[in-house]
Amino acid sequence: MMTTSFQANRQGPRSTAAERYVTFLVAGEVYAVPALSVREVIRWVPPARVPHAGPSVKGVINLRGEIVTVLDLRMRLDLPSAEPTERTCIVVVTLQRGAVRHQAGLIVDTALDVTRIADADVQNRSGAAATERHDVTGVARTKSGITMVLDVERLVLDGVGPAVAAEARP
Amino acid sequence: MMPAADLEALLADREMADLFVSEAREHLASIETLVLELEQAPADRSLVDAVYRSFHTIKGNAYSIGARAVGTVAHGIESLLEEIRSEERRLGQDEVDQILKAVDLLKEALDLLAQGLHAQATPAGSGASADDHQRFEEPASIKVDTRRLDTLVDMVGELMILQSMIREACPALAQSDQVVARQFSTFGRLLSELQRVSLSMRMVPLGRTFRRIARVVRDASHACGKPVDLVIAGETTELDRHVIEELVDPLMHLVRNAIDHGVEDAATRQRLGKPERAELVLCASHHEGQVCIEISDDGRGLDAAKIRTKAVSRGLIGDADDLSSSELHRLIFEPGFSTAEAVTDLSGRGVGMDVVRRNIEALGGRVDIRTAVDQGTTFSLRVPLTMAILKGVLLRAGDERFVLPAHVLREALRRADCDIHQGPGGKPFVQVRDITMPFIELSMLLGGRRQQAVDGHSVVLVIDVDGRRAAIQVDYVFGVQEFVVKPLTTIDRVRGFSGGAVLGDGGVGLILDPTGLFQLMDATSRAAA
Repeated sequence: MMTTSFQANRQGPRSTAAERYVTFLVAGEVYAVPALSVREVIRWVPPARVPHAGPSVKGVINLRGEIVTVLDLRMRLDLPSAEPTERTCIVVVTLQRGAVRHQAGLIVDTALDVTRIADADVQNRSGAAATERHDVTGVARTKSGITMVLDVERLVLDGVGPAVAAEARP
Repeated sequence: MMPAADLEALLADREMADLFVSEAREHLASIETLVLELEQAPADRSLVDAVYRSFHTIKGNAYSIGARAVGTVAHGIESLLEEIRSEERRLGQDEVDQILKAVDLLKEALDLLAQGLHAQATPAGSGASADDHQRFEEPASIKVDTRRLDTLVDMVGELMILQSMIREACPALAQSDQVVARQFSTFGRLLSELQRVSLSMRMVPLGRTFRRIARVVRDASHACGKPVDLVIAGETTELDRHVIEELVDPLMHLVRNAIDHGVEDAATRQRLGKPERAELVLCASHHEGQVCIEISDDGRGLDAAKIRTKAVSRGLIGDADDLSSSELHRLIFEPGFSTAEAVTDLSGRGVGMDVVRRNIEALGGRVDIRTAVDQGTTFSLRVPLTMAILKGVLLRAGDERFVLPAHVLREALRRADCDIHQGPGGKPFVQVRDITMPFIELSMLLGGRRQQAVDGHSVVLVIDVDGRRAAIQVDYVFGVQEFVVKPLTTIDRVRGFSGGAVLGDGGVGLILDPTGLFQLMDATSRAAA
């Protein structure tokens, strides 16, 4: 399995002004999530659909014996859906909340690389007219072009939101 | 209670200290049981002697290791028991209270000592010396950190998954004339045995939990001023300790609830011609690969009419809703429902019956109620022996695979042998052995892609939950096997599934939650109506 681990970054010395981000393409645009929150990036595997789990939950996959929820990032970002290709990847992000570790897989068109983005280069979204999306916390200019920084906390915790919506159904 | 000097003394020999703490705890647990028995039979000399011996041992060990505070308390009770033994004093309520208070005090002291012992960093030379080996020669049993056991069980689970992946990837293993196939089947047998043994190491009898409950019963009965006799049966029934941990709170709540709300006050019992002392029965048994724990009181029983009024006023049901009495009884499990007239110190503390049901269902179990007015109520909890593995039916619906827990399956019929009828409102039903039950296609219920047409592989599975039956059509049944259960962490609120199982090809098969399936069916038929 083509696996890239970013585990080592957690131990590395942190630069005060810049953070490392994992970047990827979704519908032709560059997005980024903090490398610290990325567990690994894996090649596309078809998830098992979870009935009644809401539209943005694509299903669940087995990641070495652990079951991980996979979110349809295109759906979350209100982009047209697309069939997976051989470049499609799942970016597995984690979030520690107290004793509970949440995680979710984000479906992306192509994984790009790990980039340093200086905090000063990230404009928060109120200043960036291009982003009305809640899932985007800011926009930065990087060597890959305009990069939208995603809010991992929101994605992971709200990823279960549709499940609540499913409960409200008749 | 615990002078620092005591801890200091204990730290001198940590290993002895640990042994002292665990032994003293065991003595206290047995004292508690004995005292509760003694309360029922105050004249039983052998019980007094047994309690005396335990306190004597605790005292002796405590003094010898330097835990003076513990020794002093134990000594005090020893003297009290001596007076009773020499008949200078009679064993009455006060004495029993005093002994139990001392037990509580000692438990606290031991907890503090244990904390103190483990808070201190282990010194470098703490490895076992030659002397230690001699002292602990040929142990009949050893103490193992439960986390190490959990790791073992998890790793065996990973091996089982790997085994099914290998079987899937290598067709030669299915040919019995191949040497490798025979070796692989031996490997599989050994692995199953390894799993059984590793899981059995995590199994503990319910006895200890029941003893804790005996204490709760006693305290609750005193607090409410309602004399209660507790009858315990099946305390040797074994369960995975993880399941037991999750059971303690629900059991405590049900027991307190039974005494607080179930049992009537003395005057009412007298008027009804019931014995003055109420009887509470706590009984555990194995049942179809699950454990059944029942809590029965001989109290007032659930009043369906009262529940109805309350549920309507709470907005849980409509004024005109037509519910059977058993459906009404189950309403006490709804969040925001409490039949308690006043919030009492005992059972009105926010932890309600809804939490009981949620905890039990989270274990893959269920709660049933049997009740009759003025005769009593029985809460029956059914839980799996372990949460780590599940015996299930692997099936296909449309192009998706699911696992159905085997214990709800009553029978499997060929689709071709079933006669489907259209009931009122176009709701399909089927008759199996003179029992009429709703019929539904699983892929339709779960909103999946439906198979084009019924073929020779289509099977109708009859499931039974709470005596409620349904016939569910699936497109293929692979067979019954044991699955390693994995939690669905981020989407646990999804209805209809209790977890996931990793399948032979590395994919995930969601484990169907039978109760949830019925809820989905109800929701579907309500939406259609």
